[in-house]
Amino acid sequence: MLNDKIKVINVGTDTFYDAVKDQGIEGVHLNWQPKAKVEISEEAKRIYEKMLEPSIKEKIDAANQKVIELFNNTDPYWIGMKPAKEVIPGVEDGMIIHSGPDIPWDEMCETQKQGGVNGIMYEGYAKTEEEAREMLRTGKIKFVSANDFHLVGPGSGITTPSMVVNVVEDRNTGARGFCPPFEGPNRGGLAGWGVFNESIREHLDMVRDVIAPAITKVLEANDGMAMKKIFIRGVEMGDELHSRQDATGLIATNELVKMLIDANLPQDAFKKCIDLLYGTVRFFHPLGMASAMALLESVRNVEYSTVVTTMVGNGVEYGIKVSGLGHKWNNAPSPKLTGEYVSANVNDDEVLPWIGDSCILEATGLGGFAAGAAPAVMRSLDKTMQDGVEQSLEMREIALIDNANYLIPALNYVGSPTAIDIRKVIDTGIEPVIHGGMISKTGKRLGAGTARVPYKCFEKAIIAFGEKYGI
Amino acid sequence: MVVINYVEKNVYYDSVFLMKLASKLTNIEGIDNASIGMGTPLNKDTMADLELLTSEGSEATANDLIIAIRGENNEICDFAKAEFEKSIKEKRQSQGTTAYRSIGGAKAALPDSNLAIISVAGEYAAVEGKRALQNDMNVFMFSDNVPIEDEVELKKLAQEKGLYMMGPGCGLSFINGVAIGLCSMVNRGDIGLVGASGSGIQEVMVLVHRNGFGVSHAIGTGGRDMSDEVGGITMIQGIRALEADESTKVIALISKPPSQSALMKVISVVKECKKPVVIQFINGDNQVLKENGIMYSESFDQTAEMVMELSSGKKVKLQDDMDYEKIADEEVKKFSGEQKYFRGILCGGSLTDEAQLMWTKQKGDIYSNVAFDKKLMLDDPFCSKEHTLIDIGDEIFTKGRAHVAIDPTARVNRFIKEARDKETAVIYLDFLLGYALHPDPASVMSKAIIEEKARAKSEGRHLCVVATICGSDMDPQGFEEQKQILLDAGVIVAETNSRVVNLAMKIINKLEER
Repeated sequence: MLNDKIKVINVGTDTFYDAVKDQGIEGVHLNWQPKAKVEISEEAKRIYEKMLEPSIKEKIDAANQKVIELFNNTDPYWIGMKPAKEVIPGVEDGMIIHSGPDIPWDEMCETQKQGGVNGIMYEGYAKTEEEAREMLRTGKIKFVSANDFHLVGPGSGITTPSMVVNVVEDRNTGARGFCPPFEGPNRGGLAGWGVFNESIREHLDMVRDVIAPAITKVLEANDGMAMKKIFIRGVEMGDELHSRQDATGLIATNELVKMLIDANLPQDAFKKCIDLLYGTVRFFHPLGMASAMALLESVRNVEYSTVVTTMVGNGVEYGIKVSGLGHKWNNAPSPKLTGEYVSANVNDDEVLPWIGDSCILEATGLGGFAAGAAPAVMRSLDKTMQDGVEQSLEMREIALIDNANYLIPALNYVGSPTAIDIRKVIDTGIEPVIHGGMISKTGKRLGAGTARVPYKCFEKAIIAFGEKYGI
Repeated sequence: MVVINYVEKNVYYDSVFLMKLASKLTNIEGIDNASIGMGTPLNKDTMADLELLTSEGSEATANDLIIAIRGENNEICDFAKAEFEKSIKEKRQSQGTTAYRSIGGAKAALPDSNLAIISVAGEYAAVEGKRALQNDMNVFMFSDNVPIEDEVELKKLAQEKGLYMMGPGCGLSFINGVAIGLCSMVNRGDIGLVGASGSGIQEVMVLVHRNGFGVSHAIGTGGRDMSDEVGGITMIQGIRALEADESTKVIALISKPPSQSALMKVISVVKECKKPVVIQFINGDNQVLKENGIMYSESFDQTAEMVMELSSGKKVKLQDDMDYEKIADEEVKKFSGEQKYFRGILCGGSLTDEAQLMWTKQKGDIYSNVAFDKKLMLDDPFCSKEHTLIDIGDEIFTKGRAHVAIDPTARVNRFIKEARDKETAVIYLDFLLGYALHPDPASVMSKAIIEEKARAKSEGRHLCVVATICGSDMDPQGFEEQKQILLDAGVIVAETNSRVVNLAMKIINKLEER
């Protein structure tokens, strides 16, 4: 140390920082706060400390380096809209898909249960709702987690085999991610809010029979739509791509309309596509999620990697997956959102704990992690632009990299913090911030807010990591 | 007078920052006293002691901020609270958008960072220190009140990783020309220092500097390094580092008396050392050093002279052109019949120790709040008794405030008290200069000195103020500038701590013979 050029990190009073700065020494002054008092088990602490030892740390760092490259080189293309059973490996008739971690029927929240029943009614597996409920309860119809099928289920995340999903391919790896489209005038509809009626049935049929073939045709004619550059521009223009994709949507619409016109579609199909685009607020939100999913599928199973690949909830439990742990769920009770309600007469108790898979966006450096990019989102949450910047900086403490693609103007074009490292969450006690919509226990939209992924999920993951790798 | 506690839920600011603000609020016209802190039991006790705690404050938790203010009326207190908020806002703005939240985060972004300076409250310091070491950084830990088990763990970890753990409780280090902590800036040279004594190391640093020599590095270890538990880990690492360091020719080791086990370890390292080593144990037993053929010193002056001699190969006497005999003769004529006592009010802990040792050996009893001899402990540290020497940096005086070398309020108050004591003849003040220290300590004191000298004179007394400046001409405050301010206030400024004490003893002796 004695003859090295000193470079300082100052923790505590800034007097000492100013003193070395006055001497021309480089350094930084930490914006230090006492750690939130996190309860951590002795076992998790032991494993964490052990993971800092060079022999293990080197393996982890090398694994994470591979993952980092996959994050930075992701290259998602929207390549089609197709019925789930035609395009998602493992999806077949006789199953219904839900959002969040695996959960037994008895423990499931009513929103999701009713969504499952409605999914069966849409597919026609049962004549009555009672019959449908019984099929799910007994397991005659399998009710499975979307995340195990490369699928993102926003909200209650109900997807049935014949429902259409957006298909996105990460051309860096060939991995695919899927996400059902938003349901036009029905907003959340069956997929999002688990609700069902005749107009929803008509809409889903129309998407399957008219929209999906038309759009798939134009996408195939154009070798898909490259999403990366659209997201990059969108982030630069105020989107964090979870609660807001206004800019992204406009840029993508511009491209899609040009493709639709060039394709010479039948007039009726063309009009229906344009009507759907026009009438679907946030049409491109599912494409962001499918793109994130394609990337996360690419990093799913890197031995020794400590990077989070999944963050999802089912209204009861919240679960994370970690690259080096494959498909193992690490769950804790689902957190409540806090935020702004659409109307003054909403009661806190009506809000369902976090439900939906949309936080896979946060797992790729968007949403809550890119808050500094999205002043309008902060404002809708009754926060300031500076709050967003601070939030991104806080998330930076638990992320491995500054994203090479999503640059945030308010951070002087530093990339959005990306690739959540469970070690960093355990160390700092900082829980990831997630942005999302609030829905009621009966499937109504209540507002928008934020929550934090429970520390417990990460503690469980660390313990699982210790067990798997004999630490 | 009214006392108001403003409680803000779930906010946090670092304690030294809050102390600075509290002292700023106290300067507001109509504000009698103020204390700002998180609602920890310790802070609440402090506020209660200062009669600044109300029921609102008592109910605050450790996550809440208490702004406790005593002022003439509610409006003035509210005004002070508003001033506090203004200062907080300024702080927020100055932090900007590049702030990092954790050592790991900052290190990841700035991978060549190699030194963590840690001054957070003791209960948090060990965790941060460990993170710094795990991130391959050396640590300078100013924080106090870190459990000794944590210190041992941190130092062992540092040792394993080949890093330095300076502190806890480390006042200063001077590494590769950089003054870290509360530290003077001096010329580089071939004299290397290692030790557990802030003002002691600084005194030797500035003495060699002023006499034309320089310092290669000075490595602080923290006050407990030479205990049984720690076993001198950092001290030994420091000696070996200086031994290996090409720019270092001679090494001085300065410490409070070591434990037996640490002493034996250090002796064996010193005996193996290929470079000359001088050891100064303040108030230690030098017999064992003598038996082992190790060079030792009994004062900072002597340490400085020995290392300069070893560095240059010839005898060096500290420069000093003062005629102490003559000064004493002149001073002694001026006192009233009642005046007879010496009162030292020092910021430097090791300077206090040295002064106390000298007085005890050469003169006799001297009372103190840090007396080596239990019989001479002051019953009430706030009340002097006969000859008294106060370490005003003691926590009991600085409660809720930064160290007195940063915030001199406590010493100004104590000085005024001593100056008005009709039996006081000589007052001794030390002035520590350097980075992170008060920007102008001489001016703060001189205002009070001029006033009190005038008051004494009007009451037929002569107030003799003697001082030493532990600093250099390269310090931000400027040695010569500070000295001139003191001279202008009628202060007698001597070259070193021991020379001031000698002068004071001379004056008191002559006074007694009168």
